[in-house]
Amino acid sequence: MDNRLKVLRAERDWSQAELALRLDVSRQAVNAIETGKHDPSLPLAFRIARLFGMPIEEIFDDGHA
Amino acid sequence: MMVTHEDRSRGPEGGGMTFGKALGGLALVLGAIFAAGVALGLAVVAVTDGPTGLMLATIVATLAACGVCLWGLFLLKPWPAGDEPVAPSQRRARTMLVLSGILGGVLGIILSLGMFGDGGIDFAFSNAPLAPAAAAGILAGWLLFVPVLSWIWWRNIDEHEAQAYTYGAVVALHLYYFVTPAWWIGWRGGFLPEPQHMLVFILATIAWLGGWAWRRYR
Repeated sequence: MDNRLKVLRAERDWSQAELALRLDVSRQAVNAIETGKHDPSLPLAFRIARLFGMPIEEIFDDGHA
Repeated sequence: MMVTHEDRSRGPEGGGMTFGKALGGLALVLGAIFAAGVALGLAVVAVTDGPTGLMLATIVATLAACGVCLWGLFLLKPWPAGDEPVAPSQRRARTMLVLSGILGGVLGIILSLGMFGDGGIDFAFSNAPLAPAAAAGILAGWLLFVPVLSWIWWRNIDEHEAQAYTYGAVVALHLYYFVTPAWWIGWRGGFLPEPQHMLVFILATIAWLGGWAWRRYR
């Protein structure tokens, strides 16, 4: 699943570790989501959306929009 | 702008843990524990039965191997950078892993000490008799502390790590599922030695850890 996590994080000048701290996950989890190796669960996707103040579909794209 | 399959970065930013580092670190830790256990066990035998030249040489060699493993760990640094911010739950999970590693080391050394019976060296996971005190100590650690540490660890890991661990478990289950009956049938057919349950256990554990590390750090 494509996503804008890396771009949104870079806009805020956060490192992967800083984003992981804000989401209460490991840095490896953030890296895996950014590189498309892990699709987040719905609860984590909602946490990400709330953190960036955006709807989920503006951050994640399953290619069927 | 969406980050697509074409422009995804391949690894963690700023270095950090990789699959190779995780696997290398694990091998070096296990190597150091095993070498220390053998050296300690031989030292005990040397004190009780009197040292021989070969025994002393082996103690020196295993201590040197332990030192090489520890030096390798120092060079590899398979741990997170100290200045990296870490979520409290992740810190707790890491603490449980470290405690599990320390407990595993202690159990490994006790098991290694139990290898030395009647002046001979048996493989640590053989079916040779163990001293009752050593067996009781290992059982206490395995059945009392490991489940508690595992439960706390599970309560604190994130979904990515849980998925990696589950993946490793499935790999290990498949290995067990195919190896155990194949070995048993081969033994009954007369072309394989008698199945060794602990050897299958070790293989399954290695597969589990490998699958977990692959999914978590690749």
